[in-house]
Amino acid sequence: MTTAISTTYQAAARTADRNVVRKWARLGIGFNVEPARKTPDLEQLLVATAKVCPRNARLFILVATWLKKFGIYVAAHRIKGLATSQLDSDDQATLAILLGTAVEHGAPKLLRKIVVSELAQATTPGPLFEVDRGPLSDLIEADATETSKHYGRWVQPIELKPGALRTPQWVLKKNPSLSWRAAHKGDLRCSVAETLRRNMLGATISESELARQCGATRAAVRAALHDLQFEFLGLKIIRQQGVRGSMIHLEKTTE
Amino acid sequence: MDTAHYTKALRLTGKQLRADHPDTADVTLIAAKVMAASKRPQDRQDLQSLAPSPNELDFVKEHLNRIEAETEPGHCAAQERILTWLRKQKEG
Repeated sequence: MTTAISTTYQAAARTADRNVVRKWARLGIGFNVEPARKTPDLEQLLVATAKVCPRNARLFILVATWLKKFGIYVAAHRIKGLATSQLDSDDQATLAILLGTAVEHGAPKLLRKIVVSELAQATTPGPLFEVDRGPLSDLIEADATETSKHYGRWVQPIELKPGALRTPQWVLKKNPSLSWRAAHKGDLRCSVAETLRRNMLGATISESELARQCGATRAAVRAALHDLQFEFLGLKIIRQQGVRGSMIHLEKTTE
Repeated sequence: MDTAHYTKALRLTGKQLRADHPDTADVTLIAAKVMAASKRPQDRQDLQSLAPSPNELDFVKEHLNRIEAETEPGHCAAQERILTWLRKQKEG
């Protein structure tokens, strides 16, 4: 029975791993798989990646490489909100190390300021990669980076693989919806707009709920919404009195 | 340590070994990965997947001994750890 459950779990894990890899292929990492059919939800993909990385060291290295080159596409506040609500502390530590390592190699510092500093440490210190959990553990700890030691998931320094990435032109041609993110370089406007587009299209949400989902204060979200009114035709802000603040509505026709 | 460097350095020995021991065809790659594995998690994962045979591990051990003889004792201590780990994986 235990073997059957274990086999089922392993098969499910392999499928999840493959889906994550296919999505990264769509975003320009040169994996030898068929890319996903549509542009993935980038922040949700990073959260899923944190769960897969312990089984796949190459994914860790290549995503860190991608973040250095394309990190301005990432909506930092949204990642924080998704990670703290969806990941346990061990996976949060993995994500913190992935983002922190990318920043150390040149990815946008906003990722460290907004996300990494807010993520939890692992419950029990140990190697990040499953292959290292055992007799090799002390070898990895002796060599581990400061960031990885701080978060309790040891990783040795990595060497980025820029040659494994597609060009920005290729990435934008395949994923044109990413282009507006670059203009805002991952700031709160990206997180607010992406949260509305991904989760709230056609629905109405309070300002306070939006702030919670974006992992930001209401005042900061209000300022971001003020700017976004000039970019999104369907964005309606209905001012009202009350503890939840304004109500926000994004019409389905919005692109 | 760089895998490509060791692959190049070992090519001749690997060819000879293939001729002598056809069952150890991947030994060049395995030796190169063992050399790099103490620093590179992706090589440790590859080695785990490759599951080298005892013959292949013996060949790598001989190679480590040669390097140690030409350098100083303990030069390949980390690689020795990798070999021990691989042997235990095979046994387990």
